[in-house]
Amino acid sequence: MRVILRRMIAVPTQCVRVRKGLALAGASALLFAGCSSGTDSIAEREAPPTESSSEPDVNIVATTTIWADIASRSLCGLEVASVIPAGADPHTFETSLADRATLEQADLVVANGLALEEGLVDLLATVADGGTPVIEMTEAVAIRDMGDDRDDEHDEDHADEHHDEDEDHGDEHADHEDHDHDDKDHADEHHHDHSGSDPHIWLDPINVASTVNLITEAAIDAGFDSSVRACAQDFIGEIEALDTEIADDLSAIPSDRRFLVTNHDALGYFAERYGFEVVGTVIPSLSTLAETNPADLADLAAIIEELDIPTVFSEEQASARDADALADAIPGLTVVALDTGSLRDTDDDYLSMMRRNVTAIAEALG
Amino acid sequence: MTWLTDPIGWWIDPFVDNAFMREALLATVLAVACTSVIGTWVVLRGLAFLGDALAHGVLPGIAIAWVIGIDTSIGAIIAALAMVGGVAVIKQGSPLPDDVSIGVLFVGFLALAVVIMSAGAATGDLTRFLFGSINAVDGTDLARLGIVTAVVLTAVAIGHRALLVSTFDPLQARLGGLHPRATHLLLLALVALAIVASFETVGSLLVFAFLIAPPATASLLARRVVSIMALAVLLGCGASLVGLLVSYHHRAAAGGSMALANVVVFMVALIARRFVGATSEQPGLGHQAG
Repeated sequence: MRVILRRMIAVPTQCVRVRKGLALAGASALLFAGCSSGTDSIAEREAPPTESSSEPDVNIVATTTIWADIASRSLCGLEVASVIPAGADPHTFETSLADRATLEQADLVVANGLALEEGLVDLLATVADGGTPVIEMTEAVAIRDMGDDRDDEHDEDHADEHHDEDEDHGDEHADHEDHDHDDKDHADEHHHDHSGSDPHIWLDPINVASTVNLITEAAIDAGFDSSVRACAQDFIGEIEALDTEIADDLSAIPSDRRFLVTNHDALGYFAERYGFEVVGTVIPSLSTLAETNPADLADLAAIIEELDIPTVFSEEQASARDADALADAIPGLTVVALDTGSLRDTDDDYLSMMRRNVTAIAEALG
Repeated sequence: MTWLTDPIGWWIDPFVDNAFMREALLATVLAVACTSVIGTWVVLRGLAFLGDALAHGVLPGIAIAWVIGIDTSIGAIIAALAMVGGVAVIKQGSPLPDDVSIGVLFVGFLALAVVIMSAGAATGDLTRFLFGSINAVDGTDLARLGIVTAVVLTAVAIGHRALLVSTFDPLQARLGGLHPRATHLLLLALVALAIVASFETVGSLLVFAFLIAPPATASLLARRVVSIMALAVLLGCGASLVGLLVSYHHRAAAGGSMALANVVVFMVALIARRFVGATSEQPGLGHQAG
């Protein structure tokens, strides 16, 4: 049984809802009820396999459930499939031939970029060569390199790269490797030998807001009606409200507690946005595929004790064995799982996911 | 059970509907033709372990090439040469049995690949080299595979007599001017070539699966070398076809499905043989050569 993850979400309150099957050739592909408040509902459909689809409206596929939800919200609740299913780790997911079928049938592919989806790099390159537009969300934001503050110089480097060149550029960053930890005293103690650009842009809502227009414009190029921009603007409004809400929720945490220790370096952008410092990660890497090493773990344990850090934040989607071992070794240290790489399940959505994560962080550190 | 109840839909439609499935099938057929034919000699000469060592020994070369950004095939060729050279040196210098010496070398190469991959800037993942990207096959991959397959098949055809005699009667080969040593090196070179050509599409582990499993299965069922080769290609293609379709319909990893399918076919043949009644002892197997 092929199970393709499909989501159909109606945007609440702003009430624009797309019905598949109403598209007419050459005419608008969407029906809009005005933007007054209306009923909202979340409908989930087991959509049929698309190989013999005769529906003329635009078929959009995202690589992860998070981008599928964001694209869906930006496009008035359009059903957007995700290649990587809910609960899977985007760093480690291996594709099947069915996934190529899904991608080839898409009119537009929304990918994260910077080789987040390591198992899809070759496949996305091949699909793009075949003529399917593949857009990378990382092109819409300023990228941070591991260990650095957000570095705008690298922004241009990344904005023009094709994803199939990412492998080559991953090595160039060994040259950019910058152990300049500026004025952060504690960070000087660890010498992680890792480098590369951080792909976890979606954990900063303002980054997501920047990607919404990228998605919308690409969808319009692929055939969407331009009236979808209204939904995009509404969604951006919701994201900005989320941003304010998060800042408020986290404001109670005093500055001597605003340190994050995570399983792998996923929260870099989040930390920068909300005034935290990621003082160390269990897996010294931007990817869950890397191995831990004893020297780094010992350094991390020392930092945790020195700063009296109460919690290590792991991911639901990846193994936390090493984080658990660390927690066993250090009295009082707990491990709290966040959703960083994927939505929790097919009913979940990006805004809820972020709120849950923030609640967990606020409780752990407050 | 849709493969029985809806045969057209399960077996045929994926290929009719999707160009990439046809390309994946073609790439697989070429890889099978290339490796199973040369693999027949590997099996008959008792070189399976060496074949395995070669298939995995290319990994550190690929890993280094990938990390520094050059073409992985170049790294693979260099590593294959290093492995063959290493095996020759070890055989000369080590008092231990061949399989032990080869085993140690093989583990060393594999471990080196793991260390390199995890230390590299882009963490990457060995599974892409072990299992390839059959679902990302494109025109250049097919062209390259096509050329290498043609070369290997031609070389095997030309060297058939030399290989045949040196496998079953090395003394006769030397006396008859068939250069058994050169033949052996040719064989290793062809194995290395098949591995290097195929690993990007089907992965080095699957190359080894194709090298060994279909010929092994075929040699349970046939006796003449050419029959074994033909049957090996047929069985390899058939099993891989099933693997491809399982991956397509059930979202299973493609490389792994194909490898598994080939091993299952071997098991089935093994069991079937018991029931049908084994023929007299298969020629060549257990005959250590080279």
